[in-house]
Amino acid sequence: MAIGAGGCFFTEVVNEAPVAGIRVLNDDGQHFIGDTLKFDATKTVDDVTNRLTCEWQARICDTGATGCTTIVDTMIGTVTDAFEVPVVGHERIEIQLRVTDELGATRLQPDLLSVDIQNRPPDVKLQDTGSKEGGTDSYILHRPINLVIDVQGGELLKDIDGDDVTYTWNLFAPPNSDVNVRSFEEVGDEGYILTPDVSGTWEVELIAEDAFGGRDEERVTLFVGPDSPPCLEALDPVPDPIGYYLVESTDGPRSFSVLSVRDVLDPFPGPVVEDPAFGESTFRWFLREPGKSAFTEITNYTAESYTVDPLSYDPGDLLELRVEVADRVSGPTRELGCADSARACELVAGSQCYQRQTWGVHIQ
Amino acid sequence: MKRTGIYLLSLALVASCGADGDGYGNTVDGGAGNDSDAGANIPCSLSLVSSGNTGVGQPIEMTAIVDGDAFGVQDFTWTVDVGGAIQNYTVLADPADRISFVPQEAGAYRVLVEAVVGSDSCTPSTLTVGVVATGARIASYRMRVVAASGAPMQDVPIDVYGGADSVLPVTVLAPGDVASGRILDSNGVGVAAYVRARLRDSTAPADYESFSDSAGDFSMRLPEGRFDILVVPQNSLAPAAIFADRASEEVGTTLNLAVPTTLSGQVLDSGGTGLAGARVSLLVDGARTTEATTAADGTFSVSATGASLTGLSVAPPPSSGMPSLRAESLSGQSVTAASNVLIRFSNPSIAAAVDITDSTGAAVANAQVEWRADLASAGTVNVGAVEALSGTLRVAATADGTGRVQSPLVARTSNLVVRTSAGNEGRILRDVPWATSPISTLSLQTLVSVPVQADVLGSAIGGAKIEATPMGELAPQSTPTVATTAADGSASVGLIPGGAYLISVAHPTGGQHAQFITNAQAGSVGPVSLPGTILAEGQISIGSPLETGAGAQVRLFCDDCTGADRERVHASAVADSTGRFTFRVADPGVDPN
Repeated sequence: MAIGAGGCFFTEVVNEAPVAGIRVLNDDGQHFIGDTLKFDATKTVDDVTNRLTCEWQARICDTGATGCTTIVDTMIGTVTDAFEVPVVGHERIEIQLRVTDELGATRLQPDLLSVDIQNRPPDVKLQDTGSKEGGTDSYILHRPINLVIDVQGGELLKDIDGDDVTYTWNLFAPPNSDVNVRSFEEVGDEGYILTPDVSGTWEVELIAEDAFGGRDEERVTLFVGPDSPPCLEALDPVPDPIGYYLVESTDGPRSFSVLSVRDVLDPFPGPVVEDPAFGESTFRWFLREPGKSAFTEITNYTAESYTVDPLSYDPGDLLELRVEVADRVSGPTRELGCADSARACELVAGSQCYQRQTWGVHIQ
Repeated sequence: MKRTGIYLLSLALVASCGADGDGYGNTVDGGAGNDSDAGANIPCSLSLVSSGNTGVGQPIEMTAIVDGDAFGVQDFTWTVDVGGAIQNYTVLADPADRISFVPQEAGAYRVLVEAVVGSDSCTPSTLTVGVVATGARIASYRMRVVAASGAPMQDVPIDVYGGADSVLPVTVLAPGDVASGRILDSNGVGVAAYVRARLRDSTAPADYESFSDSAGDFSMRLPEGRFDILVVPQNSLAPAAIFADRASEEVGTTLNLAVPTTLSGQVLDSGGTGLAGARVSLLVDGARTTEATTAADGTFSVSATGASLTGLSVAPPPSSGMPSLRAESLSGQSVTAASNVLIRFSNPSIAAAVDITDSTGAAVANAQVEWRADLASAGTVNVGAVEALSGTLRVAATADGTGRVQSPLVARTSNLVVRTSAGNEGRILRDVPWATSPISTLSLQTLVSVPVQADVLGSAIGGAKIEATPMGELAPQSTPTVATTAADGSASVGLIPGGAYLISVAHPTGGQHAQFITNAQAGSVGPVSLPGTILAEGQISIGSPLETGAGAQVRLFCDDCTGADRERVHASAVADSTGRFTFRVADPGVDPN
C-alpha cells in the first residue's frame, strides 16, 4: 500500500471585522428641535466575541451644502453605551458608527443613518374681546374690539421651535364699510383694535408663518350691531301709569330718583373702579307745571334725582315730573317717538326697556 | 309670622359657595345668601368660615367646609389677596382645609378656596374679610335698601371705617308682610286711590306707598309694625280717609270709605266780596276733603267724612297777587252740612310795578320775576269763631317787551328774585317795601361765575360733579346749577349775585364735599379738597331661610342730616346676582394719634 506524502494543514482563523449596526432607542417617527436622539450599537454583529469599540459621529447636513460635513457630536464607547444627540436645528442629521474589535478589525455601518428633523409651525389663536350687548354675541357698533394673538406654544415672536414668526392680518369688512371711517389699528406686536363703522358680519384673519414653511391661519367672525338704548331699571318711588304721589308740605321736600339704569356701556350707577370703556348715562328732567298742558325741560339739570318742594306750589296742585335717559350713542341721536302726554316711553315697542318715566305728584 | 327689624351679621362670616365670576372687586361674602348655582347637580360645594374681622397684625383663620356627594382625597388650593396683591398664608391642617394669615395692612382681604374631592372639582368659594386700620375714624350712614322683591324698603344704619377699603356686615332684610287689600267707596264700589302706610314709629324710614286700581285692589309689602293708612282717591272723587293704628296684617283688608258729607262755604277778598277761581280744600278730622274751585260769588262745596275742621288750604286765582292760605292745626270747630265756612283774605292788593334793565341799562324783555313773602296774618276762617290764617305769597310774572312787570300784590314787603329769560343775569332783593307808585326800576347784574377747583391732596380731579343748589330766597323751585370739572380740576358755575347756595363737589367715583356760601361772588369758592375715597363692600340677603338680595338698590344717606341734606345721596350701588355690592365712598381717614 502506498502512502502519499505526509503533512499538516494549518488553517488560520480570519478575524472578520464587526458589522456595525445601529439601534434607534427613541424612534417614534418624528423628531423635533429640542428632542434628544438616542442610539446604541447593539445591532452590531461580530464573528467572535470580541470587545468592541464604537466610535460615533453625528453630522448635520447644512442647508444647501453638498454633504453633511459639520460634526456636532462624537462619542467612543461600547455597543451598549447610548449615543445621545440633542436636536438644535432643522437640518437633517447623519449618524455614523464605526465599530472596531480588539484585534483592530474595524468597519463603518453599511448604510448611513439619516434623521430628518420636522418643523413645527406656529400655533396661534385669535382672541376677540370687547363690549357686547347683554345676553348676545354681538359687538357694539363704534366700540373697539380687541383682537389679540393668543400663542398656544412658544412665544409671540418665536414659535415652539424658536423660529422667528411673522404675522399677517387681513380684515374682511362688510361691503358698506368705509375704510376712512372704520379703524383697524395695530397695537404693538400683540394685536389690533378694530372699531367697526357699520353693523354686519366682519371677519379678521391672522396668518402666522415661520421661515421653514410653517404656517397657521386663524379667522374669527365678528357680529356687530348697534348699541341698545339704556333702560330705566329702578326708580324711587315706582312711577304709576296714572296715579299721583302725595307730597305734603308738612313732610318737606321729596326726591324722585333714578336708582339704576341697565346698559352695557353706560350703566348707572357706574363701575366703582374707573374704566375708560364705561361711560355714564345722562338724564334730562321735565316738569309739567300745574295747569300747564305741556312739559318744560329743566335746563342744565342732569342729576339722577330731582327734589320737589311742596312749598313751591299750592295745595291741590297736580304736576308731573319726567325723566328721560340717554347713553353715549355714536351715530344718529335717538329721539323718543311717544306723545308728550305718554308717561312712559320706549324706543323699541314692547321691549319693556323704557327711556322715559313720569311721576304724578299731588301737592298738599 | 313675626319678624322684626333688620339683622346684621358681623363676625364669623360664612361665605356661600359660588365664586363671583368677575374676580375681585365685588366678592363680599357673608353668612347669608345662597347662590343661584348651588344646585343639586353640583357634586360638591365649598363654604368658608372666618375667625372674624380683626386688626392689622392679628391672625385670621379661614376654614373651608366641603358639602356634597363627592368622595375621595380632598385637595385644597387657597388664594389670599388684598387689592390684587397675593398674601402668604399658613396651612393649619392636613388636608389643607384650614389656613391662617396675618394681615400686614388694613384693607379688604379676599380669600378664594378651590378644592378637588376625588375626581370632582368643587364649586369654589370666596370670602372677603375687612381688616380695620389702626385708629380708623368711623363715618355713620343711613343705608336705604330697596329690594327687587321679597322685602320692603328698609333703612339700615352702617359704619364705614376709614383708612382702607371697608367690608360691611351682611345686611339681612326682614321680609315683612304682603298686604293685599281693597278700597271701596260708601256704595261698595272699588276706588282708584293713592294708598300710603306710615309707620307710627317715628324712627322708621319713609312711607310705604301703592296705588289701587279701578277695582280698588292694591298690594304693598310692609315691615312689621302698626301703621296709619292714608287713602286719597284719585281725581278728588272722594275725600281722603285715614285708617289709624292698623297692624301690618290689617292693612291687607277691605278699607271701606265712609259716607261723605257735603260741606259748604265761601271765600271772600279783603273787601268782603266773593272771590272766584280759588281752589279750596279743608282738613276735617285730619283728612283732606275733596278740592273745590270757588264759583263767581266765592262759594264752594266739598265732600268730607269727618266732623271737625282741623285745617285748610286756599290757593288764590293765578296772578291775583294774593297769598296762598294754609293752616294745618286749627282748633277743630265743628262742621256739618249746615255749616258755612267763611274764609276771608286780610289785605287789599296793590299794583306793584317794576321796570327791569340789564347791567348796561337796557330794558330786559321777558324777564322772569317772583315776589315772595311769608305772611303771619293773611286771612281768617270763621265757622262760628274766627281764627287767623297764615299765608305764603308767591307771585310769578313775566316782563313785557319793554321790560316792565306789573302785578297785583298783597304784601307790602317782600323778597324779589329776578332772572333774565336767557339766564345770564339776575338779582335778589330782600324786604322790598313795594308801593303802588312810583314805578321802580331794577337793574340786573351779570351772574357771578364762581370758580371751583377740585382736588384730592393737591391732585386735580377732572370729571368731578359740581352742583350749586339755591337756598334761602332762591329756593324752592329753583333747580341746581350743575357743572363738571375739566381735566385740571377747574369749573365755574353761574350764580345770582347775593344768593345763597350750597355748593357740593362730588368725586367722579364717589365722595363728596359740600360748601355753603351766602353771598355768591367771584372768588368766594376756592379750591375744594375732596376726601380720598375707599371701596365699601357689602351683601344683602333677605329673610329666613336666607335668599339672595339680587338686584337690591342700595343708597347711602347722611345719618343725622335734616332737610335737603338728608336726601343727598352719598353713594349708590346695585347688588349683583349674589346680593353683593360695592360702592365708593369718602374715606373717613384715620386718627393721626
